Amino acid sequence: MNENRRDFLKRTAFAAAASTLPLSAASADSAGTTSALPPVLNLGLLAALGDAVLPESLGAQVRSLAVRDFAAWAAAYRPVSEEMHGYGDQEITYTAADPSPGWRSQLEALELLAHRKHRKGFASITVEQRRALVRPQLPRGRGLRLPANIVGAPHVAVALLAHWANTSAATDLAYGVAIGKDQCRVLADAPRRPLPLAENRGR
Amino acid sequence: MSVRVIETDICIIGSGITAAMMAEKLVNERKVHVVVVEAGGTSGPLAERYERRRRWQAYGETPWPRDHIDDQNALGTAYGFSPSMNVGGLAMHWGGVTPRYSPEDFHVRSLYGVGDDWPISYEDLDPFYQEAEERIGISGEQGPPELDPRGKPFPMPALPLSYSLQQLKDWTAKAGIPMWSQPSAKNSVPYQGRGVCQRCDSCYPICPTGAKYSPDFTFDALVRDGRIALHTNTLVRRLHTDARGRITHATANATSGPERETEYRAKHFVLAAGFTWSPHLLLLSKSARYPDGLANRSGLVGKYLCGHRNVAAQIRLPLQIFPGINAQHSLVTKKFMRPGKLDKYLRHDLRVWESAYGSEPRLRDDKGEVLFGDAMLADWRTRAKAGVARVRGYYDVLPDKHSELTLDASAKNRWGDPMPNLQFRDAPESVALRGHSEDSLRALFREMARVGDGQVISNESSANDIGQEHPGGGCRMGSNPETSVVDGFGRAHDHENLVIAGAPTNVTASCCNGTLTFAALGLRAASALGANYQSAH
Repeated sequence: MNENRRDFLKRTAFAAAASTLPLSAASADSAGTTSALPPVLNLGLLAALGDAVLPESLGAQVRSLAVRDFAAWAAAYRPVSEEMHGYGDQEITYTAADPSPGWRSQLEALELLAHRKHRKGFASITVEQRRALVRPQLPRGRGLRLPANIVGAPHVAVALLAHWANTSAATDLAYGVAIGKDQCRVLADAPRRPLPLAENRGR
Repeated sequence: MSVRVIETDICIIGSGITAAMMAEKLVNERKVHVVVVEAGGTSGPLAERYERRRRWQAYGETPWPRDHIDDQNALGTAYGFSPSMNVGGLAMHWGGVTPRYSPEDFHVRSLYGVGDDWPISYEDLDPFYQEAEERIGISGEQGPPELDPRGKPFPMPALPLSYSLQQLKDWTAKAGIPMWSQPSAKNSVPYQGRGVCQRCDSCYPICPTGAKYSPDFTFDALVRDGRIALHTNTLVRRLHTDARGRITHATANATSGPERETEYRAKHFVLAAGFTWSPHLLLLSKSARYPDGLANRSGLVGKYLCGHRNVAAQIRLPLQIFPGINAQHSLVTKKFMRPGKLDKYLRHDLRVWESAYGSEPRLRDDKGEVLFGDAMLADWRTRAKAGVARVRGYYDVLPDKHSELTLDASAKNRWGDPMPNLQFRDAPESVALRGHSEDSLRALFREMARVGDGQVISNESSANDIGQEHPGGGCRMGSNPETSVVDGFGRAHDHENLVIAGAPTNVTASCCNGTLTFAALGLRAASALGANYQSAH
């Protein structure tokens, strides 16, 4: 496959920052397919952020996968792609500018802030300390929902949380059953009550 | 520039679902040569649709890139208009929802003293509804016969009600509202070489499996078998007449690639380009003999654009609802489309879906505290315990004569053709009834909530006055050439070999999705048109 301009820019940007990346570039995107694009976000910092904001009960392995999924999603983002204009929309609109540079800066700021306040890197401080650094960066409001549109997330922590919450697996966890939202599934199973998740069985 | 000349029996302009139905019927039943001319291109193979769906889900990218022509768009109050111009038209990304209109729709003047009657009845259209359902492939459940009359069964069993919809059906029954499975152009069993729906929940805008019908399937088969010629990327810009008013030829230009002009000569022309581009072409085709455009003796080409609005609500209920089991499928009733005698005119449909409204994951709780980690998940779990139903009714809006499409010289395409400007307007009687209609629907939702020990947690309605949903009209049908553009078979009163098909011929837009009706009207028109040609059998 020919490398397009965007992929080239991502690759060269990645090369410049590669020495700071502790994790492999290969990762799985939100649909579970392997992406060969290098991550545009510092995976070490992102993993530390994921451990602070994603549910603890997911376990380290699932949180790590969620972080890699999010990084792969960001790496495969294409700005100014034609959006769905759909029924009722006469305007042709395009996807927004790449949010990754802003999120990358926010991660770097968290790292600097950790050094300033704790004399350690963001990944080296405790989860509670990380949360304390992230909390003031977040939008304010009562009952604030996670954004459905991740690109518009005002902070990388919100984007990471929203990306995970948009997954079928997260919805299943919230409802406690295997709905399989957005998955292609057997039609004949639709009338049945979704099966309880394994962790809930016997309760 | 040389002009390519194409001669054929029937030239169909446009390649949406109405054109697909007509082309297939004509070549199946008649010895006839058909050329279909489409301004846009093709959409790519079915095999690409999983990946397109993935990008749409992940990033909001259109699964149908470049399905429009940049300098061919509508202006004005155009909600409901789509710029889609490609093989399959807007039905490449329709939701596949296929209700029929109700018998009352065709006689609102006679029954209720409002609007105008159609020149045809539900009974006239029933066999063509059936034919459309069979050609498209509709899965459906017949409702109570007194509410949902039909001559024959659906060609496929209904899509099964999800666990959530079954509970919601029980709830609406308590409220005295019989509801059933929404008829859908999605296979409940293998049909016409396409597989069974896998409830991927992306019917709109893209079905990755091909279980939902889209017109490209019909065109692909017709072209593959050499049954029709399909000319893509070719915009018909004018129709021309002879001294008797017959359409002699259509002139077209290439919309991509090298500049090229094509002249289509045909015995019959079918204008199946939707509610915008059909009247637009007629108005563009004005001449010294037809200074107001073709088919326009009545002055009604582009007039009486019709559609409807909706009122919707989210209702919290003490039910266990799991949104996402088959999110795009709904319950439907025609109880309110067939209301019997009325003091004040109000007809509407009613649909119920499972919903996740109000149960979405949050960043901050009600006190404004940040929710991280398990606290966020616990908050989400608590909120997800509330069952929520989304309810919506489309209510009939009667069109004003000056609900219209006009040519707007402020925007022109590359050839200098003025673009259409759409202005939707309610008839005065609908203006007067709007408050009553919307208040009545909200009262119904409150009563439904009360019966279910629930609560309306959100009221919504068509968010605009800038257009209408499921639009049609612009070349309305009627028996009187002074007050209509075409007859009940879509034949132009003014041009004996011109048929206008589908959405533009609607007199009113009922209070439900129109696509199946557009297809049925097209098939009825094809039936009459085909009588001019020898049987294929």
